[in-house]
Amino acid sequence: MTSSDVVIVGAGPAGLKAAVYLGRAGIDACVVDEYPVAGGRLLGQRYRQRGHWWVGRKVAQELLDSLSACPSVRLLLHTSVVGLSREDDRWQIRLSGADGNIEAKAVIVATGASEVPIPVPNWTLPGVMTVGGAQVMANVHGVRPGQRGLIIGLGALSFAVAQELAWANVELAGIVLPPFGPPFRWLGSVDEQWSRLVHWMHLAPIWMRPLQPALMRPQWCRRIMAAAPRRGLAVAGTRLRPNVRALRIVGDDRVQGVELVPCQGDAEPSGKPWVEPVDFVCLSGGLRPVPDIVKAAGAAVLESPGGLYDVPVSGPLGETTAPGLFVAGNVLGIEGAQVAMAQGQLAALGTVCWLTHSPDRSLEQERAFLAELEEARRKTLILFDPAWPEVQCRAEQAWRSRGESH
Amino acid sequence: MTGRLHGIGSAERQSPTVQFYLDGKIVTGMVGEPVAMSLWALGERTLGWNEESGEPRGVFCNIGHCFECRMTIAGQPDQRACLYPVREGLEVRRQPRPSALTIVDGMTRL
Repeated sequence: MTSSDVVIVGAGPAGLKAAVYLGRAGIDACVVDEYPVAGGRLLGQRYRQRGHWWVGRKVAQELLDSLSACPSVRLLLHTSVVGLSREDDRWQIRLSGADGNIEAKAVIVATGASEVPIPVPNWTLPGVMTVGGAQVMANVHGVRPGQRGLIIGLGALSFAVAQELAWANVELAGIVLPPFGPPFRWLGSVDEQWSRLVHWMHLAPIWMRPLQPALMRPQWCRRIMAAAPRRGLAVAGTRLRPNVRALRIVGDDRVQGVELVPCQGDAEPSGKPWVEPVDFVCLSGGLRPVPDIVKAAGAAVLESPGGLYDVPVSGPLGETTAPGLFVAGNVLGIEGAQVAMAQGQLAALGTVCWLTHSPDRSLEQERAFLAELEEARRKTLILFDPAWPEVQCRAEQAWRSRGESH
Repeated sequence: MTGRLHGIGSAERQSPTVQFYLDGKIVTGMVGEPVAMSLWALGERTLGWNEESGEPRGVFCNIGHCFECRMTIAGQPDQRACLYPVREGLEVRRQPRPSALTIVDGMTRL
């Protein structure tokens, strides 16, 4: 068994940023991640933001360069955390395989998010993957997901990944709606799925800009989507096909096509189905936080129907209801990498205060970091899900009133 | 290797190649990439079979969450191929497909 003052679970934007802060303060810390490469989902991100390119791989490299100047921090990659418990005022972090345990005074959980799958019939066929999985394949490893693909679901990642695949010269047959029926009802009605598009309209292509004021109004957005031709609207290097649904994926031992059908809103199909020949399919059902080890550690987590909005009850410095356990990044709700980094340095500050037992913590530093978080939120391009601000507000309220129920 | 992209970002990825074994056969991958990515680039899409239904399984989430890409790697069963970095001489095996008799009767795809 080894020991560290702080263990950080997750080497994504939040975890690495926290590690850099701790490293600069000379605090002994260990960052653990399952993936063989540090950087988390930063590694695959590549988009334009207000005239600048956001290349996540470079941001990750800068964080790693800063870390290499911090001898008190070590990285433990391709290692899973399989247990987290508190014994005798110490955290025991159980690792996968023969790696054993690490003992720590404090833990920062930055486990990020996972994708919500859409169980389209035959979704287990090789060649069906999550849209984020395709992003990792193409952008991180330069591996071609297939010759021609289709994206099912109007999630926030659908457009970003469609654009990235287009830049990589991977052909797409478009972005279509998921199938009909009860298993897909949690995605909402077609109207609701279309209405969510208004949150990404500022990313719309130039030809759509004159329509933007209309598209920002749900009822107009709906009308424009309803009037879209079957072959779709040119968006993000592909075609958004808001009047086409996937029925099932076709193939024997690998994807050979997807059966599609024209539809108008939630009404029955308005035409004959056909099989679109593709050899890979990306499912885009959105993202949800991964607070599992926070729960396992015994900290309070606000639960939600289906677990899609489960978030730890947490304070402004990422404090949880468990002593010495901090959280940062997408585990607190789905937002961009810059927000995650701002949360990472707040959690690191919280951890330092905890380790040094300083009740009169540096308020100035805290205020500056909180301002950075607000700035990152203001600059955010993609609002992943309009429900998040409300969920986070409830988690904050639960933190403030945590003592009252006892 | 036709499964490699040559567009954006590829300049950053001029890794040397490594040779490893898939079911005893020598195949080539890029240093440091996960086993599943080497195999996908080679056109190997079936990485295993579901233990109950016998249906083929490939890469699904690609970041270690779904456990669909379980393979026997370096003698250890149920390793997630999407997380396991490839290296020279690594032994990678698909786990055996259940025989028709053991496949659960009446199991249908969703």
